[in-house]
Amino acid sequence: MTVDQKSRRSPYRGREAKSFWKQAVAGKAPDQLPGLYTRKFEITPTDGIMTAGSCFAQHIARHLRAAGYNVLDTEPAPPWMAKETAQRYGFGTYSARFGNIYYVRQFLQLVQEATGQRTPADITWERDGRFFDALRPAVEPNGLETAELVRLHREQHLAQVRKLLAGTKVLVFTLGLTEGWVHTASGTLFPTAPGTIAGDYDPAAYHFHNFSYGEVHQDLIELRRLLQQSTPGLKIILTVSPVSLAATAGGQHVLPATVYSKSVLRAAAGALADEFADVDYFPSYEVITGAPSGNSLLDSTLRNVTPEGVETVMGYFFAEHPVHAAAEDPAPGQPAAPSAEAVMCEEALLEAFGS
Amino acid sequence: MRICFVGDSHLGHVKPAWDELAQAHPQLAVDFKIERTYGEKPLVIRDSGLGEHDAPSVFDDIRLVYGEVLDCARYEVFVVFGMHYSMNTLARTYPRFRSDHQAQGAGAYMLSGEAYQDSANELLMSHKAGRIIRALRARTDKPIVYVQQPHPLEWIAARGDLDFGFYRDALGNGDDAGLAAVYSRSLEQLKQLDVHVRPQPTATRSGNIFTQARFGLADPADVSPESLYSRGDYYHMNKDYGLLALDDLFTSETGVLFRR
Repeated sequence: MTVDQKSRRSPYRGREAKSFWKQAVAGKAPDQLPGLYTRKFEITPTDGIMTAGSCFAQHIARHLRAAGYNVLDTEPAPPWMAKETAQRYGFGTYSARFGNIYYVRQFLQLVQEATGQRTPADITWERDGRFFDALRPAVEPNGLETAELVRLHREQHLAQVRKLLAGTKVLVFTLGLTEGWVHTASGTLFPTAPGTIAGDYDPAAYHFHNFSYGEVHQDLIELRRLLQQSTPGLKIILTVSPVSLAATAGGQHVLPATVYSKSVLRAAAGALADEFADVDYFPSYEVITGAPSGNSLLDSTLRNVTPEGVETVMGYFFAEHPVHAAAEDPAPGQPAAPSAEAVMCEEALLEAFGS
Repeated sequence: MRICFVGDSHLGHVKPAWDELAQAHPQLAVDFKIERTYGEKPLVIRDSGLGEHDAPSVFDDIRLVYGEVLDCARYEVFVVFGMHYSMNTLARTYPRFRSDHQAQGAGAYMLSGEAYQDSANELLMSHKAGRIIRALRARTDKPIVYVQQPHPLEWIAARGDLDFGFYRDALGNGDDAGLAAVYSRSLEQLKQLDVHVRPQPTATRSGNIFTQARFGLADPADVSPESLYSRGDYYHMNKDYGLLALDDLFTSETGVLFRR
């Protein structure tokens, strides 16, 4: 049977312009890609948002806060502490002081520990007589005085994580890495290799592991299940960090190792978003590393995302999740009446100076 | 030698003491820059010697009634008294933040000893005392002295009718010595700005974090409804305290600054 050109059917016919490279991408600037992201669900200004993940997640958290979203922080710094000092101690970067969470398995193990389903092994690392929480070694840059203090600080942290889980409606999680270091006997995964910030690399105790697609996918499913146990109806937005590996331990060239890791994470995140209505995928990775941007949104190291890159990414996010009125300064009004203390201060001066 | 005394209501114990001591120091002329509850003009710190290169620092939250411009060029020595950073400032944080050297309590977040000290240091520098000192030091390399604000009067911890239960808790937990040490170290950081620090005269102290009642403006024997004691004035000191504080200023290691 012959079909003439006009009535010939094609699965691509009638699709939106965004489906076609020539119309959606060719010749477009990285911030001009129409239809790049369409939200799956709404985030209301009151929804408690938990942010976690690798370095790039810090930018997302900061921008969400500035846009008036209710980004949770159950371990805030003393309010008078300078921002730089607070960051040095791991405050204010994510929704609790868990430091960078590079791996899905790392996050899963944290949630399991916080909910009493797992006891990690080998959590105290030592350096020069100081002790570090191996599962978040950067939050105390000079460590603590004893291993017992590490345990006490970790207990406090886990209590705050539980509080966080209970209040979270939306998790924004940025997947960072697949190559990691594991405590062989227990399976505990560390965010840094033993012997870098603290600890000592003993090949008999630790091993290198590069998580496969299947493992990441399964960990994401288990993580979603656990989180929804704490908060039924919790929604998840997954992103993949565009920051390349600083180093690989896998023996390959670092460039293909990076592409492998990011591909695994991207594929697993996409699969979750396809499988579950309450999981969305936000393509920050594509905005930064996709062909339209070339290297224009990376600095000279070709690893770090420039401020313009972050702005470009967040532009797509806020096009779908609108900016809410950011918290305003209190409205100017009549000066508050002096406190009883201030009145007594004035009296003390009047007594001394007589005017 | 012209000296500038900068402070708030705590200058109330300094002024009568200075009036008594002034004749013994004829070489010194003292100007008072006083924050007032009802002040209408913001404190302005500038240095006329720098001409147009100096953008004045304007402190909208520090209000003066007169003499609001502090011109660094006019003075040889600057003495900052208290200015809202005190043991009380630190102790008030005790219900919310504690170091891992202190007793832990429900509702208090535990910081490492190092983070707690950094937090106290920044408490000072974020208060008016720290901000004034920074503004002065940014303009001048002349001597700056910081005179500690007196610790609260010793009866405050026992006053259940006032909102000072944190003192009772700190004492009960044996954390008063630790608080005093952290407070003292927070003042020591000013030395990095080449600021001389004068702690509270030892003879006036009660325990680790209080001042003896006899140095207070409030009289604990006066329980009439409008008395300073009844109203809870635990922080203003009398002339006797002022005399000891100025004696310390003029005879301790800072004394040499006023004899040059």
